[in-house]
Amino acid sequence: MNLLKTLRETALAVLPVCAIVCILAFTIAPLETALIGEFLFGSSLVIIGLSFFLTGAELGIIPAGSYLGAALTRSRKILLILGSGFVIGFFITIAEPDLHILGSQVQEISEGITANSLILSISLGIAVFLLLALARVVFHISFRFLIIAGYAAVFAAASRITPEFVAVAFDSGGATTGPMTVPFIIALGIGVSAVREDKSALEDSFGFTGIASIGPILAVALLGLLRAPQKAALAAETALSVAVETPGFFAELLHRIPKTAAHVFLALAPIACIILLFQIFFMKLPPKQTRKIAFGFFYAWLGLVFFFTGTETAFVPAGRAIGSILGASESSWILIPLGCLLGAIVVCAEPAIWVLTEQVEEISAGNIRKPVLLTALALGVAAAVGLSMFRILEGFSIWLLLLPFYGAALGLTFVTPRLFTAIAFDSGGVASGPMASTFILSLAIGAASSSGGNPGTDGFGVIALIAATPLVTIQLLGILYQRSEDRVLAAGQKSKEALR
Amino acid sequence: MNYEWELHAVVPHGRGERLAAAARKAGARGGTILVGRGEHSSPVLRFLELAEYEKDMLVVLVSAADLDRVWDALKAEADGDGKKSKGILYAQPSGRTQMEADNGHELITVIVNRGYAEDIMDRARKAGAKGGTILHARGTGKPEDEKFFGVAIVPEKEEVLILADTDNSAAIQEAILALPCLTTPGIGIMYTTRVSRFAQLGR
Repeated sequence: MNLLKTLRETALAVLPVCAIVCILAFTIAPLETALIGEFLFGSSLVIIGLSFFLTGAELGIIPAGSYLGAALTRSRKILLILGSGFVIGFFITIAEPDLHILGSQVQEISEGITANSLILSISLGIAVFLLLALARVVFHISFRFLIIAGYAAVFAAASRITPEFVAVAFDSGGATTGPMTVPFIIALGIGVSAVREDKSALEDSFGFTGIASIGPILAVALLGLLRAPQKAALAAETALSVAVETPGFFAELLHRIPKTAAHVFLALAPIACIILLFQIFFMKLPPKQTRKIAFGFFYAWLGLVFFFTGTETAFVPAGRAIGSILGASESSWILIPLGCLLGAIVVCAEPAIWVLTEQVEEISAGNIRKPVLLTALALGVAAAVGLSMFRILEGFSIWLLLLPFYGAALGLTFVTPRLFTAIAFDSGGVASGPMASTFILSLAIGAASSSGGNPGTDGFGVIALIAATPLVTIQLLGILYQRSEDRVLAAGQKSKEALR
Repeated sequence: MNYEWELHAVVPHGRGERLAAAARKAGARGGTILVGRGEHSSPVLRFLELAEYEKDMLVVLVSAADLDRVWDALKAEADGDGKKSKGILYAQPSGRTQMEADNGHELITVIVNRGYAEDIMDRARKAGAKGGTILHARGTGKPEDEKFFGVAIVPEKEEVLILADTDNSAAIQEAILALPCLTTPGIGIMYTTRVSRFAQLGR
């Protein structure tokens, strides 16, 4: 992929967010001029970072994942395939930076659950479910069956834990499938299916992330059951506390960059090591390919460092400030349409979403176009953020939103073409990436704290809903797609008959 | 209806549909678009591994009567918006068609197991090739293929298409054959076909 082309595309995706923030800052939510300047600087870091990350993902992470998947299937050793799924799932999750942030937050809010036990159980959850995802393809188990069984277990466990924990559990499903794990897991699935010659290979290319996302939800819910936290209520001031006192923007930046660089390096290292081991013992790729993958990993690392620096230093403070100003204002209802608008725009700037849509377009040979998929996702996430803002202002239980959405999502699996069901569940895990968990989450937390809600639960609720709505919208898109395809085929049949 | 000619247009990604529409307007019945990739020739970009880009390859079958009209339509459509549509266009006879006068170009096709295409392109470029297109494909299963839980495992393939000057062609083929990673039997095949017409698209 061309770096310049990517730069242009990501700029088009991020700039609308900047525009909205600026418009708000100069009208109903006045921000300090310095904060606006910092936000704009941070946004440029986000754009540059996103471009490098996508280039790197396309060059290194995705090919590596799909070579690995293909090599595993070709080995025809069932124990090696399932064992690798488990090991890969465990190690790529344990290093995901998002997970460590989540872990420390949960540790603060609940006695009896430490960050380490949470991280360990979530990683085990992903490992088990990635193993199941691989086993599903090998043994031809229906995707629908696995998803319904998985979520049935999730809901059975979640119905018995405290409501605050429900939000954390559902949030962790989205949070742990982050920008590093998602491209790799998607590519792994594509690789596993690419060497098979049968009809369901296309459908089996997707769905790995969707199944893997169940793991953390179930793991946290089970942990909540086992430990039965006495004090699970999320305290207002603990949720995602970002230091307000900063020693100056650029000093802060200099302080953050090395830390972020090390974090991202640690997150990429396990994937790189696994690939290196497989390269030596199984794949034995030719030299040029190896070099490309190495460069790809370097660009992905560079890109993520820029991206996280930009979001942490600029997006989070700006989102929080705007949220709390609007939440406290007379016309707080404006948060609902604003949430819809921002949700739709932010999802278009999510790195993992770009990887997913790109892969879908490629695998379907251009049949399922990127803009169409993005539109469906944007609509879903817009609804999710709008509803969450409504919930923040009204303060009702998250179950009222989660149950209908998951009910509809599981019901639709019976009528949606199977390929779209798999893509839908993948998108669910993918949609709630770093853009959502920085900008939208800070906006929600800001809004909730100033409008008298509970910032912790409401913030987590946003992420859980963002992960739930694409399950419905993408499946609906699939039904529409199937209909138009049927129509085209029928028309072709007619014209053939006319020729006779 | 007889389709005596096979037209291939290789253009930047996203341009294939418009060319196909132009071909249809000029009388072609339809077309097939494949998505491939190529590399810019800039050495700096290639060192940084940033040279790769996507392209569309349009394949249209036309009858001898329609050949000129569709050819001109494709060329006009691609040249229409200047440098945006850099690419190539060539025609090959399908079936027993008489060759047109030799235009000095040959098409080298290499089909290899996935992963080797870039090394081949690199080597071909050193031997004088100006560019090439890589298509992602997969092999078909044979009855004797080993089964894995009832499903045949087929090799993933890459197809490398290099349009070369006739003078250069032999050198490029030799260079490719000399690649150390191609010495193992079963990696792939290479063949050369003649090209009847050739045109550079865009300016």
